[in-house]
Amino acid sequence: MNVLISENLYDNEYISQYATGMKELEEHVKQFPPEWAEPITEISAAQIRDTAHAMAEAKPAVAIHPGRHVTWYGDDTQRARAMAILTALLGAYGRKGGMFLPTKVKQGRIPLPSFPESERGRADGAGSKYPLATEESQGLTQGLVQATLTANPYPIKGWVVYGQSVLESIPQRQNTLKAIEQLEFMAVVDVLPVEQVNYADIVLPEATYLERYDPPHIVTTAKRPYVAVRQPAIEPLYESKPGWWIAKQMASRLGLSDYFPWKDPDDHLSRLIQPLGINLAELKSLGAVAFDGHPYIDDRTEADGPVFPTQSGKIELFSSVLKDLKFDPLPQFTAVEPPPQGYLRLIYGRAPMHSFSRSENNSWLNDLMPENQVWVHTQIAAKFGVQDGQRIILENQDGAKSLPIAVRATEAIRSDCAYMVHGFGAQGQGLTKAYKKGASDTQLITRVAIDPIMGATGMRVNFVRVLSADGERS
Amino acid sequence: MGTAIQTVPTPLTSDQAAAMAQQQIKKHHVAIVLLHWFNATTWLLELATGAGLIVSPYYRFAPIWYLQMMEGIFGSRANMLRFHIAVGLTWITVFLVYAIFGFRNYLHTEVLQHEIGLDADDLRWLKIRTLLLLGRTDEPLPPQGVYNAGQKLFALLVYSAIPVIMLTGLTMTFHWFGTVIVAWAMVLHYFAVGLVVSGLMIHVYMGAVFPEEKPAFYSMITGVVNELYAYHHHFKWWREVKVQEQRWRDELTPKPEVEEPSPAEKADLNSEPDGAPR
Amino acid sequence: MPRFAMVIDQERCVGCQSCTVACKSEWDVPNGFARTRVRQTGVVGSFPKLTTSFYVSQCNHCDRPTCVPACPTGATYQDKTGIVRVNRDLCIGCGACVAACPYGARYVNAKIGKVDKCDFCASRLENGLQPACVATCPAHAKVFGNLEDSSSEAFQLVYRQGAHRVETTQVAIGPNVYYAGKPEHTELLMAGFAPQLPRTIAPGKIWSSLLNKFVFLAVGATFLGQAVAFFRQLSVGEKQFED
Repeated sequence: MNVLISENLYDNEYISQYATGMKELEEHVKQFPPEWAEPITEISAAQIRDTAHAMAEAKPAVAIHPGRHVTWYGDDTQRARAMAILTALLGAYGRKGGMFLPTKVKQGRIPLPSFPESERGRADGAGSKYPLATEESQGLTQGLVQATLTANPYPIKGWVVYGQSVLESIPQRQNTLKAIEQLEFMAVVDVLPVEQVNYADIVLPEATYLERYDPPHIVTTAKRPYVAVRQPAIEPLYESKPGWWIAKQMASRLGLSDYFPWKDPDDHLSRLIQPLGINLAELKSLGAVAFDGHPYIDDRTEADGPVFPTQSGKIELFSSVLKDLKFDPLPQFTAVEPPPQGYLRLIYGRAPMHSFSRSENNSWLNDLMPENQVWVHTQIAAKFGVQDGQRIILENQDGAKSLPIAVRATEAIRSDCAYMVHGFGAQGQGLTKAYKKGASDTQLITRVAIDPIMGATGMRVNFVRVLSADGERS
Repeated sequence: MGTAIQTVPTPLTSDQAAAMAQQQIKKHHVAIVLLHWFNATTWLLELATGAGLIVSPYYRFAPIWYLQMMEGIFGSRANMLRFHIAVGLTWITVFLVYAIFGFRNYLHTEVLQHEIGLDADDLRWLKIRTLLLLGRTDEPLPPQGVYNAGQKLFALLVYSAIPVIMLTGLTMTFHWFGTVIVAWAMVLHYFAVGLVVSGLMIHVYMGAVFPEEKPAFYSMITGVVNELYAYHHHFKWWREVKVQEQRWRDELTPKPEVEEPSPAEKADLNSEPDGAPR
Repeated sequence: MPRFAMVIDQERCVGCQSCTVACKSEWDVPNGFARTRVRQTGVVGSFPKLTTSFYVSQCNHCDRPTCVPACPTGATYQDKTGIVRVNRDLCIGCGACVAACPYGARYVNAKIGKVDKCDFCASRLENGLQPACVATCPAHAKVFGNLEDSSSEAFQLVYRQGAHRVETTQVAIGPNVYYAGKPEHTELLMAGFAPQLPRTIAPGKIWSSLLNKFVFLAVGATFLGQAVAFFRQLSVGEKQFED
């Protein structure tokens, strides 16, 4: 940004037409020349300049994708904002080669009776403690664990867990376990016997996606919006039931049938897709239907609504919303804590054949990748005296230990990090193929950094050291 | 009666010879005759199709025209393989039935010892027989049992090769014990068949072409040989038959004053159907 | 007659193994085996200047396959379109072809006791479908087509854009799976996955070298013996036989 603005390479016209706060931004980035970034990023100032020039050359066809899973260090809102501002300077929102604008589609609504008002509000802090995490968002599971542990803002006595493996996916596993112990009741709806079913009072086995209908999948953020329908290929096996059936049955037995005013999935689906001008039989035979999209500013029509859904209707480089909430209105740099002596930063990610912690027990996918490895730089492996393929135990800064995991000594990682694929080291004995295969990153994430703006949990603030397989420090 | 049944072959008078030539001794049970020809047919079919199934240029021995002809007869090699397997399984099944039902009669040690065990006479026979064939000696052949040493040798070969051929065939058909064993089974199958075929060369020649053994060939159709042939070629067996007859005769006719029968009269009694052990 | 080929674009492949799973599902391939699979080449260079690539392996449907003559029963054959196929009715699962393949493309399916491998989804081709792996590839990294058809994408990639075969001077049997990618991709591929010299299984070696000769000798010798005796019999006559 410093280079683009100081050398006047940004999209002046686009910024003056669609953005506010340019003056403030210009002042702000003066303090961050490439020479300032060089020691932090380990990328030479010259290369940073070259990159800026290349981007300017290609603008607006530059897509700076924020990536998936962006909660790292607790300052993630600001990092995401920095990337978004860079995209704006290149004039890439709603321009060919840049970032698409979403196209709304008219979705059907099934009128429901109003929900009873709660005086106490949400327990997870979404919308209150973290005002920008709106109630429409999915909520904060980590906030719910905290609320359960502290009985603040009020005691929580029961959980119904659905669609998530709380012990594998929520960091600070020790807290989650403690919260579960405090509960009076826990029901788990899951397709797999993951670890949490061991703690449940009631387990409701859900049918897999191949055996059930799901709500229509309506995607508006693609180049062309589309609707897809999931339909069962076979009848549910054993005692499992589709999620919709479980929900509707529970509601009717609790006297809440009014909240499920549809007969069956066909009825539900037809009413939701009714305004799309396509009938269910057609959709079922096609599987998915795409509609005309308006991904670029030039295509936008009145019906698409404002190009930028902010208060001003423009890109707010300088955010008055953040300023009002006493946050930095322009992204500030916060230094990341380096690993202590003898420790490596634990980072994690995904393998293309596995989805979260849900697919490791699948026979075919397990065959492709039965366990994860911990990647460490070749020099680090040599320093710790571990061989490629050797099984080791990792211990984090709080003394949490992993299951044995094989080392992958590679050049493809920084020398201050250790990486592993998430989702392994399963603790549910029912997962016959995945049980205790590889190590779980979640088990080593005992510390989190909460982003004060959105309340999200940064999880790359844990450090591990290498113990040999018998648990001794190597 | 001792005096009439010789312990070593002696020259016969022409009358004696003529009389003996008229007398038949039962050599093979009808079941054995049938089994022999069933076996021969099976072998012929299996050899013909087996040769047609090995098409790899690395292992093939049959000429291309033969492979093509066989494929043409069966329509496809897959059919040929099915046929080969079907005939093979039938062969195994029949032999199994034979082994189960004929067990007491044919397959106990005493009989095997008697029929395929080689003794000193047999070894000498083999030596002289070979030299005779080559025209290198005039020495007479030592006396032989029900089967001569050559037949015994062939039987030994066949008895050891047949289980190998059956087991390897089954292994390949049903993919028993996995890839490595199947690969070895393939080679063993070929090897065992090869050995038997080299033995068959002699067996067929001796049985069907060689003049002196012609009665043996016919015996595989009628089940009987004439006594003269038995006397000349299987003297020890001939003697066993005679001794046995003598015993029966003694039991049947206990009267001591009965005069000694001449060998020809003795032979009359052989019309008794169970006169020979087999 | 079409000449089928598969082109794999190494610049597009992300190693997601979708092709492996699609193939497994289509052909009921048991765990631990594959008709096609994706393997990562080594990582070369030092951090952060690194190169790596993926090798998508499958049957190459070679012009001069080594597996076909290796098969004792002729179960492995090349059809008219050049696709190397296995006739399960003839296969006894001896593994001779598995050893003979320089690309490790074959395996013995223990469930059925037969050899299995990629056949370019011949039955799908007959129904006008693409091979399962091609149909499923999310990155369009696998292109299947007819090299006799100059308008096909495969033709363009092979004859216009220099997609190449994975061959060495020792093993050049005309594979019909081509790889498109930068020179460094090719280098990585050859370093990790160059074709191996075809092997012959031990029983096969013994068969073709020793046993064939031995059996020929044994049968030949006995036959010769008979012939000598027969001619002797003819010359001497049957006088000794006093029947």
